[in-house]
Amino acid sequence: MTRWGIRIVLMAFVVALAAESAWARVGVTSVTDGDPLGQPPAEPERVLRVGVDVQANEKITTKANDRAHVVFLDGTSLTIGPNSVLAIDKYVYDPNRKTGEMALSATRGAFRFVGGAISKNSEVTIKTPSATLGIRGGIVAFSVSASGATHASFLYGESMRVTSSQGSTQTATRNGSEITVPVGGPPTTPALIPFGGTIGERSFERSQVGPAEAEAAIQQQTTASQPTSPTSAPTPTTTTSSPTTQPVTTSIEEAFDRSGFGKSNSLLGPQLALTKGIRSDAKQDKPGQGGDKGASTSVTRLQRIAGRAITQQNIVFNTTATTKADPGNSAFGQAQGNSGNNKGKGKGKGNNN
Amino acid sequence: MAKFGLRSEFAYHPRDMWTFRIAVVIAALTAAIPVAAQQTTPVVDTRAAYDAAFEETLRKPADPPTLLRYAELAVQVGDLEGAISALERLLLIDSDQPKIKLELGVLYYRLASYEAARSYLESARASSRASPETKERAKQFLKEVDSKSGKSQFSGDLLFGIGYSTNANTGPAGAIQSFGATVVPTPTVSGRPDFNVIGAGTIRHRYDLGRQDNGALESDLGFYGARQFQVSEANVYLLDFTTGPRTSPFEDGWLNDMTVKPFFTGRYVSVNSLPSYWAWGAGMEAATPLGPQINSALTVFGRRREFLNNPDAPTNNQSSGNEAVAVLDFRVALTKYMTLSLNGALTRYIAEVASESYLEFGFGGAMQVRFADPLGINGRTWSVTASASTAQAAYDAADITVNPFIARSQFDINLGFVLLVPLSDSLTLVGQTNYTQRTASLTNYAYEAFTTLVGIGWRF
Repeated sequence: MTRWGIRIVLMAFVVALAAESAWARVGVTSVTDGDPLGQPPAEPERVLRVGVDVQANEKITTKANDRAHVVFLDGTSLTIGPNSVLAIDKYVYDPNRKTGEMALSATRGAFRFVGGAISKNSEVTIKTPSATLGIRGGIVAFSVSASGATHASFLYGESMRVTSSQGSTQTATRNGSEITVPVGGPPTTPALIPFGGTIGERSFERSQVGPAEAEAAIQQQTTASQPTSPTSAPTPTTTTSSPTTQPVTTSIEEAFDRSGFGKSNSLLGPQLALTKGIRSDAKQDKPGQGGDKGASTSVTRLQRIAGRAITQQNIVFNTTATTKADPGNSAFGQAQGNSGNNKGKGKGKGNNN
Repeated sequence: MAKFGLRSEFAYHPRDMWTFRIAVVIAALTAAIPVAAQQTTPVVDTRAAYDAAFEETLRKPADPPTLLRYAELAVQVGDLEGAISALERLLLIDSDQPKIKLELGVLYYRLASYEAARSYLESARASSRASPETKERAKQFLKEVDSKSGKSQFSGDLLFGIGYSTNANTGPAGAIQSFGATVVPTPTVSGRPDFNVIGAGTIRHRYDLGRQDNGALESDLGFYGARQFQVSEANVYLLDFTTGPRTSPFEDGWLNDMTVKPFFTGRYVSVNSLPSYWAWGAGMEAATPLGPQINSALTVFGRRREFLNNPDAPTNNQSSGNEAVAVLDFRVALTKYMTLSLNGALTRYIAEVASESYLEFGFGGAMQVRFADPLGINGRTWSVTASASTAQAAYDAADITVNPFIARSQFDINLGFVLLVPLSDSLTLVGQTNYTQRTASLTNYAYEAFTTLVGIGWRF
């Protein structure tokens, strides 16, 4: 083969690799309920089961009884509620630098986004029919109604920017804020979620778990432990289940009790939980936003003020007493006499002599 | 204005003293580093284990033990969102898991996302499958959520203790001067040791303004009282009050994390049960993170001090005056277990008489090291703080009643050590020791003192 021939073959190989990487795995289906569907860009639609890889440009659809949870390679997780449609428009992640880009489109439904490494370094965008959400380092629950209106609850993070299709923008920076964007209208001013207001996690929860689901989860997990490729993903078929003697409910409780997770969380108690294991983030320690220098610092400052006050007053006293004892310093002992005659002063000094 | 640099006239001025001071300061700041270094190696291991656990969750995405292992490590490395993601996944498998909901509620509580926390905690408490212990713990955290998410919040700390000082009245050790003549020191004027009982505390109130920048009206009331066993002229009581709204005025740009707080401040001090001075003024504090681990704050304020004549200090009012103060603070989280604080302060005080006016510059640092309970008492995190600071002041003119030819100037050095042993969520055993030395151009102002304090702190 000539030199040019080798170059052409190599280039074709590189192009082929690049094309494949565009459809490469960006995450994995981690929990499902019902039969959520995934439509990769160059493959037939399939039912998303636990362990099935999710690809860039994949479209995910759920019906009334479906739910799905996807974990991305950077740690981002996305819960997709019933009657939802979502597409992964862009996903680029460099695991060595922990940076990348992520863009999603949500046409309808309810979602919960928990940011991973990408959102900590750059804004993740989520486009809806009425708005574009820009999320930095946080947790956001959002829903898109059948009409296309968007409602977003900013639960935690740096910021959630909401821009309407007309270009009007509102930004939430405070945990527990919500913004609504009606179709064709501007976003509302960020408002705090009312006291006792529900965050909406129940729409994502599964109400009952039976043996069939447990078996399905176990079976899918077994599948996930095998190396899979996009071409080996299952086609859209319903999973057949077999009875199991080990419901997931039991295994979650058992796993929890064995893990000792509570020792590093709820068992710390309310005060210690706030100081232990929290990321050393300067923002969290910002005055007025959770930072607390502690009792000893406050007392030390007050002690210093008190010490200076004692010194100041006693210097004036000493100078006064000494001056009165002077001139000539011939009878400095009178200073004691003078001080002893000072109202209130004699008590301490006199008693000590 | 008097100039700095009268070291040759200082009462205590051995040439080796400077070397000694520097050595002591460095030793104090670095004493705790080896302790912290022992704690850093496991952090690296934990991080590697956390990364491996995440990879494992990709292989076994719905396996409860794998998810809980990952969540546990995520909490240890400070990735609370990662832990939330893992636990919420378990609720997708089975929503009726009160223990998982309790942990999620606590995680959101730790992130100060109180409505999300409340939702999970109430759900955990309401579950028919929840054990009495789970319900009780959920109730305990709900109480905290309520207190932290209300519009009006009180918090604070109190300290009661017993102390001892080798020089309670901060009196001079050596000969003193009067009208330029050296006079014999007497026990009444000289420093005297004594024990005391101390009560101190700070009550903080925060009124939430409901703004996106967490803006709030912050008010702090500090009080301090020390009653001596014998040296009554060192009895001191003070009240210190500061109030002002804290907001984040910059929404975008590199200053978007900055908070500013214009404030009003007031103070009242009595010494030996006699009014010593009032002070009032106003200022501005600007605080901003300079990086992921560094916080900084600049505070400037002007204040009027009104000294009051009293039988102990019949010429006290000559010290009345106005001051302008600028303080710069840095707080650096060196590791998860070590925090370094640095500060510098500049004060210009202009009094009624020139001999009481001064310019003062000071700087200091403190290293706090946190470590696991070494005695296995209750497994809580102890902390030690070593601090060192210096201040140098130069007075504008000589005080003729002391020495008509030599203006007062002084150099302070302060070394401190604090041990905090938490006894419970709200109680802490406090051990504190300080060494203060003031050298001065005139012996009247020089003193040294070694103080200790043992007490109990209560935080609410």
